Amino acid sequence: MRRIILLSFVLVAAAAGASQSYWINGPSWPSGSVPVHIELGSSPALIDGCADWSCSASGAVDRWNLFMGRIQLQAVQHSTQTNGELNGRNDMFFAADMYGKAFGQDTLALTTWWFRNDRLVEADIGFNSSKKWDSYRGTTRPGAVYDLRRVALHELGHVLGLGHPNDHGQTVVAMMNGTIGNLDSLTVDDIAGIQELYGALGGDTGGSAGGGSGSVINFPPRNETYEFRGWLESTYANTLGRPAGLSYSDVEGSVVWVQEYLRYRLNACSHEEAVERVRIQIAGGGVPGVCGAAASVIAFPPRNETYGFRLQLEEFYRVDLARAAVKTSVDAEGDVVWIQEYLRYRLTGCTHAQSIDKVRQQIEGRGLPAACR
Amino acid sequence: MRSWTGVRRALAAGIVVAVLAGAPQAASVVAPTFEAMLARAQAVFVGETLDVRSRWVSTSSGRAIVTVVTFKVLHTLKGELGGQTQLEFLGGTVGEYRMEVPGIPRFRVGDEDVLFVDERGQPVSPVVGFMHGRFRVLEDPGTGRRSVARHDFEPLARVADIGAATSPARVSSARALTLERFEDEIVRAVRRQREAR
Repeated sequence: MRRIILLSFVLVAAAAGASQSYWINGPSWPSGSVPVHIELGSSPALIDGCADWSCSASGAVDRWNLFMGRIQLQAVQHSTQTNGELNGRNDMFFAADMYGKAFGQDTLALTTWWFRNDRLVEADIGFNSSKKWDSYRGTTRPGAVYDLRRVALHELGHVLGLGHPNDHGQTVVAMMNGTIGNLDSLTVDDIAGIQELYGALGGDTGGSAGGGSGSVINFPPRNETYEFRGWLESTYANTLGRPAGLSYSDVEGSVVWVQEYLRYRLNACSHEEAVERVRIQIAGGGVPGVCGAAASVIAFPPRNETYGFRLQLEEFYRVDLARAAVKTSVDAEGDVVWIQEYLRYRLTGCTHAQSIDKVRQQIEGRGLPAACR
Repeated sequence: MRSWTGVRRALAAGIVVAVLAGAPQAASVVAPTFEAMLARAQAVFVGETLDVRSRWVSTSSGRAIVTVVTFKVLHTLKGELGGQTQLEFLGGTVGEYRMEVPGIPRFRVGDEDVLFVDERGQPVSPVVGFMHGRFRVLEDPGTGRRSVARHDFEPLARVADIGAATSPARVSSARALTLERFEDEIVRAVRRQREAR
């Protein structure tokens, strides 16, 4: 009888813990386009606004594509192909069983890999049709309705060649862990894993246009925005007498990433595109280009969207990076409102000092000072 | 951005903390609790893997590979089993072809496990909870103490930790349940469930 010896396991676990935690299964796809046939059929309108399953699943395809260089998944939406094993096609479908085998009561979805002579030739995803599905973000609703997009994100990670890190004695926050939870997006670990397989999406060096040929809005040096944020902290604490609260994103993080988010928004990116591009940067995946040429008139996004980004940043620092909370007198709303106002003045001809002074007037309730040009 | 090393360093430190302190969570399988796992299991046994064999099968949607694992039954804790039993899992290697299902339990000759089994409907994995109903038997070479770990080798401290909504604190294998204690907990829970019916 061969029993597993504890000592060797402890050594292996310790070694693994010192390195990255993602788990690469084996052979990956050759460079180029990898088609995925989405054969999920019709659906009622979904919670997140998607019109059908195809939209939800291709949203998951898009997320992975943002982080990969050497290959791109190609979502074949509303495919009418019939799924099957070893047919040379990557199928994504609902089914009562997986090729004649029941899913089992606890399984939401499965991927099957096919290798021939150790070369990956096919990967299929089956969703358990006996479960209730929808498409939504946030806390998962086990026992009720499952979010197809996050499960598709997980299964597509398998299609790309990633395994479950937690099946290999590793503890890490990752979409690729094998048990359902509240994560609804890729984490630093997932992105590091996929970039080891396929490299990062090519990006420019930041601050220049990647997607458009027109003019690009340039932002003030970060040290000045950081200095403004220091002034804001002091004003909230000493002038306004605000007590210190807790934030998971520290001052540096909020200044840098809120400014980056706004840079993308002002250079033709939608809210979601801007959030994803900032996420790539935080994950160390380079600096993706902006989405196009800036509009001739500088138009900042609605504050609720910047605030929404700031809340996501908070969650990212808390969950993905497991950061301890830090004290600050400026709440998340004040953070985004005044950083955005400071930058608005800076981008409309005001100097650093003028911009601080104009924000000060607003905070003191002395109206809304005009821009400098 | 790339030269903004302060943030990078802080993020790197955060990642290390996440690796050390984070809890596994993501998608695809719902982890059942100990009671649910036991209620659903047709059989629970301590088994030693004797043989692992893969073959082609025909399905309604094409050919697939399955792997049949033969176990020597060391103790039966629920259900009725003979001296040996076999379980069939989707996936395996035959010739130049390999079919894999991520997360599916893999067995090697000589492995010793406590297995919660439900074969109804010919499932992809007959282990209850896909992989969660597999508990590995580990032996300390120094003391000979035999303890129980989850499918992923994480030492199991209490049966209440199985399928818990929040990840339990990690324990060393020295503080994990012994095989004898785990068997005892299973037998008592089986009796409790039978009496409740």
